[in-house]
Amino acid sequence: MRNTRHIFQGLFLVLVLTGVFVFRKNLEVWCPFGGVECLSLYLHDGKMLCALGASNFFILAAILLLTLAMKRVFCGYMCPVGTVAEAMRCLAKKCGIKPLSPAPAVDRVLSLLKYVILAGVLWGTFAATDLIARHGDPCFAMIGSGTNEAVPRTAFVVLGLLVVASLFVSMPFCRWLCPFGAVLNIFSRVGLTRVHRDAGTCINCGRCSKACPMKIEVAKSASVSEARCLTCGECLLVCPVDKTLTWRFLDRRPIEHPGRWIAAAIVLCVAAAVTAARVVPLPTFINARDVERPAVVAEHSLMVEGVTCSGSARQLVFFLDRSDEYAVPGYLRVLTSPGPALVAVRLQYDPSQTDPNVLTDAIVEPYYDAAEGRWRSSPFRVEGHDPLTGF
Amino acid sequence: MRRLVLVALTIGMGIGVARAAEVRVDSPNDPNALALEQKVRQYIETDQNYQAAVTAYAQAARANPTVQYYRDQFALLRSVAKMQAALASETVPEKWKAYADAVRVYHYSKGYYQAALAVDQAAQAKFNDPSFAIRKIETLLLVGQDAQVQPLVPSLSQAAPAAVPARWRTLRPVVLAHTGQADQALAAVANLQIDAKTTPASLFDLARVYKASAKVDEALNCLRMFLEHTVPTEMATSRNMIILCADFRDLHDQAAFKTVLTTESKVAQSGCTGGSSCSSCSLKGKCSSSK
Repeated sequence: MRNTRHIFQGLFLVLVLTGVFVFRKNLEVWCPFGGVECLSLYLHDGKMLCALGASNFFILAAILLLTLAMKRVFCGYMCPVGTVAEAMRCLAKKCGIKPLSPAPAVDRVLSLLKYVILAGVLWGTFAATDLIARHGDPCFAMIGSGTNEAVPRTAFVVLGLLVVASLFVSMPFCRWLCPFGAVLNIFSRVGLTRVHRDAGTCINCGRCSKACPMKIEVAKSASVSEARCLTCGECLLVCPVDKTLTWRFLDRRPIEHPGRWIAAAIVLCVAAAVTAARVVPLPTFINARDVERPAVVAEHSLMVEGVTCSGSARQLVFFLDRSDEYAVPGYLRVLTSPGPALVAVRLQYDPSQTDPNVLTDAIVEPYYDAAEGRWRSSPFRVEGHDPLTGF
Repeated sequence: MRRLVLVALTIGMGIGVARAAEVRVDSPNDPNALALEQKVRQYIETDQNYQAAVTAYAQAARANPTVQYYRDQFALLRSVAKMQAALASETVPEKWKAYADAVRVYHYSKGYYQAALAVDQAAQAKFNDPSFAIRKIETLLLVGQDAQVQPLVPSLSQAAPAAVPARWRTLRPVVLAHTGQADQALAAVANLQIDAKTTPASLFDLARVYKASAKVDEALNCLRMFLEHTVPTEMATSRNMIILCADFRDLHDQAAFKTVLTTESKVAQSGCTGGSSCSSCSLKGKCSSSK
């Protein structure tokens, strides 16, 4: 089980680091917490923030399902921040640094902090329509370089503090501060698989509690119901009495080879999320014009380059809302999913007022911005449309 | 493991090299590009043949598919040409003004002051209001047709102060300086409070007044501040105004003048280049492309 966990931790960390620093990919679109941050805004006005996309929702759904089944497996097997924190503690252990353990009462109070942070992040993101959590997000410090924008210094500071703190305290960020941990805790509480302790054979040595990286008192529970359990299996491994600690599904008979089940579940969930992101055309930017909907609505689909984020999608709307020679009188709605390279843009319009050529021209032609007194060249290119045709 | 790392690094470097080769040129400065610019200027200013100018950019864009500049200029000029043509037939005053505005801004950005003057003259003849009179004066002074400025001055001097744009307070001293009244011009600007943020062009006027009074250092200082207060997207327009203005022609060889021309804008402006986030944009709250 430990090997499985370390293989997955290493694999995800290497995937993240090579994806960001070698392939320069925007891995923020695979951050499950991005889905949490944007959910209220998406439900409110159909728009995601920055370059986040439908993949954030799919990976979030997959991880929530995983959590329902196996508690906080994401934190123990997949999260790169958790891996770094664990690696630091491991290093400290080898250097002979003893871990600091706050009193249980203090630990309980500190563990409430993540709920406060979650509430603050959700409210702040909705109010500011911006990913405010990035400023203190150690994960964004790791993956932000792939998003083609400056990573706030504060994010690096938090990552640095986390690295240092992890030398002295076991997984401080995961236990007390991580807002995504707070989300997962809600689902983890009803986790269908749990570690069970057979009080009849237990010799009360306390090794299981000592080994738990999340400092759960396994030795005092009949069944580990704590939401923060990572299903890391450290308690199972250190237990000196055979079959005293077992991993069970719905309190039934013990499950053999938990590592294999967990590995299969992770692979299945990630594959499902990746497939869903590729197959399900969920628009992550919907903009409806405030006009009366006509009886007949036509739709024009085109592949556009330059709609890379929520901001540039808004710029696309800005070009469609123009009032010059290329004004589009009958455009009604824009549905797209911003991303790199070419993205599909669906334009709904009143066919009695406009036609697809006018819509395309509005997107690609430069626009005189009277409010700012300047010309704006269109940053968009429509596949199959060559403005030079005829010249 | 080492081999894996090496393979990953090699792939990464390969991708980096391939991407570098794809980088597009934004603004050409080779002799061919400059010759094209001259040709387009002639088409627009002398021949007033917009179609030929648009075609010239289209041909350049076709011949240089990796140079985004030509495609942008082609698209821009094609829109301007449409609006220029619409000026002859548009009957809705507000639309006409909007088109005139857009066409004039383009001409100023390229330094086509004769073409801008034609728009200003048409606007002044059509609406005869102080703001268009001031625009016409501004362009007349730039092209050196000082004699035509004088007939416009009395109407502005007699108009109610509230109806006259603030720019007139600094443009009037330039008119004085251009009619040999440099001392009066200097006196007129002596205690003038200039809001550089809202009317940076007033600093350009001030520089011309100082230059007419042989106060070169003050003039250069005003030009520097003019560029500093110009929004980044208008820098080409402002630099063109300085370079093409006859008042500063004798300074062109001076190192201090060349240094002034390298001044960068200190105004924050949304680049809106389609990055992955608006979060780092200082103007995101005001940006017309964001909500």
